[in-house]
Amino acid sequence: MEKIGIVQTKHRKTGRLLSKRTGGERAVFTVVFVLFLLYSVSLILPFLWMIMNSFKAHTEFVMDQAAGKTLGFPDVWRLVNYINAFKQINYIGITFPVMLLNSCYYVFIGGGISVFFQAVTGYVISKYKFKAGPVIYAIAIFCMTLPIIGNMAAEMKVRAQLGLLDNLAAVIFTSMSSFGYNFLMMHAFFKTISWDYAEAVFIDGGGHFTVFFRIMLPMAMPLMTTLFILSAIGIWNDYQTPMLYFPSSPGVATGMQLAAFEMLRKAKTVYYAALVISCLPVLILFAAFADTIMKNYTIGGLKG
Amino acid sequence: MTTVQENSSSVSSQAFAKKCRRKALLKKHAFIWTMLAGPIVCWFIFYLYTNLNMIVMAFQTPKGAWTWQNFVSFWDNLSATDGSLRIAVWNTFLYFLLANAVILPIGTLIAYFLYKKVAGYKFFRVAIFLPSIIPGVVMVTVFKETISPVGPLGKTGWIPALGFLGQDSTATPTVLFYTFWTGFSSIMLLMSGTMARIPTEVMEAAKLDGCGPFREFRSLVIPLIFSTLTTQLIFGLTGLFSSSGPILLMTGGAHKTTTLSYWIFENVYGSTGATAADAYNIVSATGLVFTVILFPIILLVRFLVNKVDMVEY
Repeated sequence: MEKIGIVQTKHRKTGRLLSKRTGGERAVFTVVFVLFLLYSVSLILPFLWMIMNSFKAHTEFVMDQAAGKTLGFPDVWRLVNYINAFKQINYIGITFPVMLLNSCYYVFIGGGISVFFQAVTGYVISKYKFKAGPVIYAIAIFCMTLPIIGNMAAEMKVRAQLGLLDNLAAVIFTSMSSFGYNFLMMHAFFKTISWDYAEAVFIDGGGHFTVFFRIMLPMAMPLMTTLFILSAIGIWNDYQTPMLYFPSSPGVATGMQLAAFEMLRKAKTVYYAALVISCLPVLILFAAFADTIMKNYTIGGLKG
Repeated sequence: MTTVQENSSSVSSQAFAKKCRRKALLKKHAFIWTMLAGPIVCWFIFYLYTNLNMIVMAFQTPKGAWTWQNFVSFWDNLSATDGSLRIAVWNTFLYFLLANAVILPIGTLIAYFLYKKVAGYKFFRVAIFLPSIIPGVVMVTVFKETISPVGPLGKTGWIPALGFLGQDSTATPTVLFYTFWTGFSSIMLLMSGTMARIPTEVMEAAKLDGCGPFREFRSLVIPLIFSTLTTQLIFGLTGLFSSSGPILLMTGGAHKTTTLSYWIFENVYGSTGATAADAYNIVSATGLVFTVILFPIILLVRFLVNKVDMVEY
């Protein structure tokens, strides 16, 4: 107990040692603090402006704009724009709630399947010795660092040939090709896990699937959660993929982009309210998992 | 008699062991290939077959006849003074410079000060990461509204009548500024994650030897995070051509703001009906040319990077 106490005191001292700053250092850190503060405010302030104006009536906002007073608070804080967002945002007959549902589909089906298969490929390649394993790994690294530019047209053609253009089932298939960046992270993770767990299961008569689903997958959950959250944010915000490959099923980002021109002209404040709503899921997701994301996200060098 | 029995039992036990091993091997391979089947089939279709298709399309007319015409059209567009491809290539180069010569070093510095726990670092970490969380369509709308002639800064007299995005001379610098303004989030996250893994003993030893923050950053932190920095450089190089950034949301490519990846997107998305197939072939030829140019550059960068001794810890 006493020993632990000594270690803790030592740690406290060394911790203090690192945070101790000389006069010059303190000046540098103060300047940096001011710069960071200005930068952060510049990122946040425009949002507050948008949120504030999303509570104004359209006519009130137009009048404020003419008078150069859009920085002022609304006369009355109206929630009606938030209700109207669900009714008025519409692109080729697709309403805002449908866009939200489409985005959920892309996030949960696309993101879920891809993270699962990244774990599968990372696990199999790092834990099993078989002849094709190193070849697959080398090909994955090669494809990742040497991208093919301009294959968008070819992909459109291939998807059309396979009947996967504008077909939501395509999300399932495309999410399965999982030899990207996250594959490397899963691969590195499973490398650190001992094979003794698997041996124990084999002795108890369990098979390879039991090892993977009952032992390995639960251990990989924190990393898989991080990868899922990050890809979920990416998919939610991606406007380009649905625009190209699923034109009849735009998600929120695509739908908002396509509806922007008309809405900004007709009902700006309703559009602002819809923008605020479209931020909420990703903001909540990030707030809930911020610590997990910040801790688990790092990459090493690319060897080979 | 007993020897014969023993022999026959050892033979049968060997055969049994062999059978067991074969069964185990079979089970192992059944597992491996069941798990990998989906990803491999998808890789063959969406990577190999798609990219082979692109190469073939580059040398074909929309009707499938062999031709060099796509490359001729590519060259004509690139060599014309106001050709859209020429503008796209120049702008792509500007974004490349911005990402690697400005955002990467400043982002690393930001990560360093957050790692050194500058006052309010927890708040700054979240605030600086916001552009990665908030949808691009929201970020861009907010930015455009802020700098619009009728926006909150409209009455200051700083905004030109046509808006910064409404004239050739200021449109690209404005989009570059936006990219800079929102560009630090992923570098910051990646680098602070990497720095957090540096053993504290190393930093403490340096501190006891009287090492100041600049020396510490230059001589300790940079070498220790070098492998992540170089990986980021390579991904930055490859990512430059695959994501079209905020161009569509900002200007839709107007006012000479197009980039190579946006040019590709625009030609694929914007082409419908009879012209679609034609555009597909020119896009494929253009992509092929730039892939062939980028290929040796990336190999060279990777070769040089691998020559540097990385510190493992």
